[in-house]
Amino acid sequence: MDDSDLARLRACPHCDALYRLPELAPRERADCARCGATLIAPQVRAFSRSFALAITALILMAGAVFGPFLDLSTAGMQSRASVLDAIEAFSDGVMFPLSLAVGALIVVIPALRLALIAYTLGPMLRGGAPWPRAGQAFRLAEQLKPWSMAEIFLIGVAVALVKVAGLATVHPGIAFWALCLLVLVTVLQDTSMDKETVWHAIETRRGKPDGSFGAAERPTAATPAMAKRA
Amino acid sequence: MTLHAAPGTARAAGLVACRSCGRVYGPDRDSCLRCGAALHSRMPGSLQRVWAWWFAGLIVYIPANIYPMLITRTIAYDSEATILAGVVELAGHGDYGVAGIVFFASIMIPLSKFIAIAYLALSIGRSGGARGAMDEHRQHRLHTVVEFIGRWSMIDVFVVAILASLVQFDAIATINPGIAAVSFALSVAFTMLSAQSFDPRLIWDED
Amino acid sequence: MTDPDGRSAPPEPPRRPEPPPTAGEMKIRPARERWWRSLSPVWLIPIVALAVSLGVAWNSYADRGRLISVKFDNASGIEAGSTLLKYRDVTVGRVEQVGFSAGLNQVDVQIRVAKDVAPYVDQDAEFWVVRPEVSVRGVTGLDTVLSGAYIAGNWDSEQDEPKVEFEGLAQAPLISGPGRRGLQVTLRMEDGNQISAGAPVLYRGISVGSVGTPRLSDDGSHVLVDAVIDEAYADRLTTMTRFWDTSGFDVNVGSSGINLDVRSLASLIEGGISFETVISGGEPATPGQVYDVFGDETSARDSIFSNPMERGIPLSASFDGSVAGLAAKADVIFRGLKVGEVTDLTAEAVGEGAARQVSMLVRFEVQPGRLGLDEEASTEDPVEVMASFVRDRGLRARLATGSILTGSLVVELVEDPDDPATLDTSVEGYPMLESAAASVQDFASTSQGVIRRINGLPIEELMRSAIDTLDSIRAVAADPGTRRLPGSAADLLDDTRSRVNSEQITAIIDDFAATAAAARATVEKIEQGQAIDRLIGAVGRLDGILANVDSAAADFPAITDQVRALSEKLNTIPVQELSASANDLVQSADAILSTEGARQLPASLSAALDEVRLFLGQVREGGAIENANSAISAAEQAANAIRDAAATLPDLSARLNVLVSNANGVVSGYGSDSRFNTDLVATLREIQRAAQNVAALARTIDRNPQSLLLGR
Repeated sequence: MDDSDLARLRACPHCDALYRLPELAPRERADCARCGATLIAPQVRAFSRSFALAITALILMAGAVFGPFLDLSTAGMQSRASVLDAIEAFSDGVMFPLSLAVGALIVVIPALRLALIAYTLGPMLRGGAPWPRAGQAFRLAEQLKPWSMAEIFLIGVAVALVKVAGLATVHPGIAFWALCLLVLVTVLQDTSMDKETVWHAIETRRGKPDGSFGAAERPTAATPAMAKRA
Repeated sequence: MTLHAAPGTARAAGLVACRSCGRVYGPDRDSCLRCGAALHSRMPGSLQRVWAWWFAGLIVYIPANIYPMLITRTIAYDSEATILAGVVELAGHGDYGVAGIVFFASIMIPLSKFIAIAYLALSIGRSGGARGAMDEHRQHRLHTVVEFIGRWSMIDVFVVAILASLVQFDAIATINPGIAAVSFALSVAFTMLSAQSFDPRLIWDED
Repeated sequence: MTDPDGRSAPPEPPRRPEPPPTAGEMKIRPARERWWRSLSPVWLIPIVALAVSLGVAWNSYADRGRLISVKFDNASGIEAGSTLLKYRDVTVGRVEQVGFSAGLNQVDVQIRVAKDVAPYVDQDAEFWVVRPEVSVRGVTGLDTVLSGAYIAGNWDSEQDEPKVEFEGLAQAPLISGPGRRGLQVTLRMEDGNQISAGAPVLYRGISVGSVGTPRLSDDGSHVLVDAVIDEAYADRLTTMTRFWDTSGFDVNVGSSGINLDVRSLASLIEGGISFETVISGGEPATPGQVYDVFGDETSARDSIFSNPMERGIPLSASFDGSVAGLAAKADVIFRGLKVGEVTDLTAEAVGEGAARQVSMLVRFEVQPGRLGLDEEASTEDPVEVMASFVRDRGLRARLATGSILTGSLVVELVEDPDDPATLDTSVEGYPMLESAAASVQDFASTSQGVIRRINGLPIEELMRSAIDTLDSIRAVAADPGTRRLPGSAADLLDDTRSRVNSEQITAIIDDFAATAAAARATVEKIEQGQAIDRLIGAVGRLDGILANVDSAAADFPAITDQVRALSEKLNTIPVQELSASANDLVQSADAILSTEGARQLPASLSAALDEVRLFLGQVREGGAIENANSAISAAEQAANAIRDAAATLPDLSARLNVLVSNANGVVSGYGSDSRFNTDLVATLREIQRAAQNVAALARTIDRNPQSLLLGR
């Protein structure tokens, strides 16, 4: 088998089952016959949507981090916390590393992921060639996925609010809503992006001059490579 | 649609698949063209790393349960609540839902994660067909669930962080994180790493 | 085969041809990899985690403090796991366990004391439970309303033999300041009515210590109470120090008028004890020293010149005439100085048959120290010393007028070295002094003397000075400033003015004038010189003279009435006002702590609790509420204490009444200087101010409950 043959094969990353690349219409899904994992799920206008959502999420992230997060008032006393304050909660003494870790989990990693995705997709929006090391960037974004815990943080906020609710009045600030939106947008972004499409685009457009692409390769037509391989 | 079954696994075909992007290569490549990941038919030393992280997670999980997670100082009282005490307190106040979430996230998930990972690693390590009560499909699903759900244990750490930053009323009431927050966060991280080190393709390897 | 880690298995040894039958082939086993070579470096992480965990565990085990056991009578407010041990208000330990001592006699509280503090907790350590307490002296331990009770410890800064078992104190030690020590002395008093535990010990009005719970002496004859004087003031105490009771009011009736003395509100209600060291020379007090508590400041000060522990020399004297006006405790004076007290008065039959006479035997005690016989009397037989003193000085006893105003008598020791006297030591127990002629100036002789002297004056001058005096009295009375005095004072002044204006006064003057005119013819010698001064003095004490006029002379019934009316006025107005203001005090105290307390204090407490509940929620089940309840009940106790004290106020009023009626004849306090009035008014103002302060505090608390909680 030469490389062009191999390029038409895919193995399930979870169970190593070997498949030939199928021909998929947009919004069709291809699952692994053995372990059931979804392998390919092409979307309509996947790149522009994912990119837009990633940028939106980045902006929301800035709002969530720097805006007022929660106002706690009780008996005439006020307490205000931003997400940064929550990160700094552990910054005393021996728990400082935990402070860093929390900051990484709820701010740095999610932001980095979004940035990496934007970096990967941005240049390819109009069918251009990916920027250097886009493959590595996208792989890193995928690897960081379990460590991006903004949504878990949000659930944590909910639990904390229930704990505090009986004792004080809590007013969610703008950052709180930003975080809620952020979680929503991130979930949307994750589902709107088919990894195989991205990988394929990275592979096939590498080295192409910017903007020179045929109509069949427009990213708006999902999984063009697959369609060709039919 | 479901992909129709190919002749078998990439390994059986003498090929190596990239674990991060699924691209298949011949046996002589050692890094993926698309994503640059190192290529291994199976992750080398996978089980060892699983066990190492597993033990590390277990060791730090013990102080996480013994030492206080939340140190509450109010003019009324000082209290140091461990994870379990926090759950009991929440339940005592009638917040059964939240108590359930915290109990599930902080106690049930970590414990079942330890058991599940140990079970998977043991059943892989054992040679031959004696794979235990589960078939490959169930084991694979178990691994998927463990990977997915493990990170949610971090909830408790975040709750502590929020409470500690929010409830700072000087003399009236302050909440500070206890040392258990650190060890619990470490334990969650270690078990996540343990689950990630596990190469699920091993489940399907026959022999 | 492939091992699960994906490493390729070592190649199987190549198949060898069948061995020749002669030479055996060794079984060759594949080269084994050393197991540790295949070890992943990831294993470092669990090893580090284990090491750190063990280190932390060992650290916290090694840092664990020492466990001590403190026994209390009850464990009210003490909770295992949460009650703290505090030293200088810093948490140094935590109660780990609450159990019973053997036989369920006591509660055994196990406390884990911080490691760095534990060495100091030795045999001098004291422990007591701090709970909220509301008393007249203030609110203490209020922070424990919310935090729950805590155990306070006190110990010195020296490391002695460590101790593990302690007895807890039922209440805070008298001097509970951290590291503060005090001098503990024992006070001895007649009865314990006036004093209650915790009452302040005052030195010049400053609280310098407090007393413990009164207890009965072993023989039941006294009440003993321990008092601790703060170390800073302990050197004020010497063997010459005198303590007296300053509970409640102190009313003195003397020639200068009526003195009303009210100490602090606290001492009014809880009782109080003052001390003073007027003369130097005493030895510094030693711990455990016993002091007598005198009933009032005057008797305490009077006792200074004698050692109260020293027994006086009992003496007696027999008098023929009337001893009306002499009573037990009357003074025995020598050259104007009090040297002893009359102890006893009895009648005694002397002689036989028709010559049998009844004379009055007066027994008294004389302090030899006051006569300058201190050293001799202590070394030799005091009676012998006294006898020689009597012989040398010609000492005799006679009755003398103690107070011209009250008509009371004293025993005066007079000396006449030219006429040696003897001490009759044959009388058992009470050697008898000879008696001398009484120098009692009864009214008749006094007034006669006065009149005689007046007679010697030119009547014009008499008139002029009398009128001058009256004018000045009138001027004072008419002064607008005087009018502005509070009602009672003004009334009294009005009364005085009306008396001054009254015709009876003019009649006296007329009478004097008439007497003088009648006597003029018979008196030949005119004593002009010093008589004028005496006259002015006498007129200045006009009211005093009037009093005696009242008791002795029936000649001036109108004046008698007037004086009596005035006395009645004295009887009624101030007492009414006093009881009214005492009532006011009680009512305002009641209003604050009892009726208002039902509304305000618990309301503000519960408001505070509500606030706390808002943000603390039910973080602590019940505890705070219990504590608040106990605080409220403590407040009620305080209110009850005030109510009880209020019950004693009528007693005080009655006491005042008695004094006032005793002072029937004494009008001088009103006429010449109205010190009683100013004192009374000042006192009332003081009481009102105290009440206002309490009310203001209550308002503050009501307005801003957090000030109570946060101290700001």
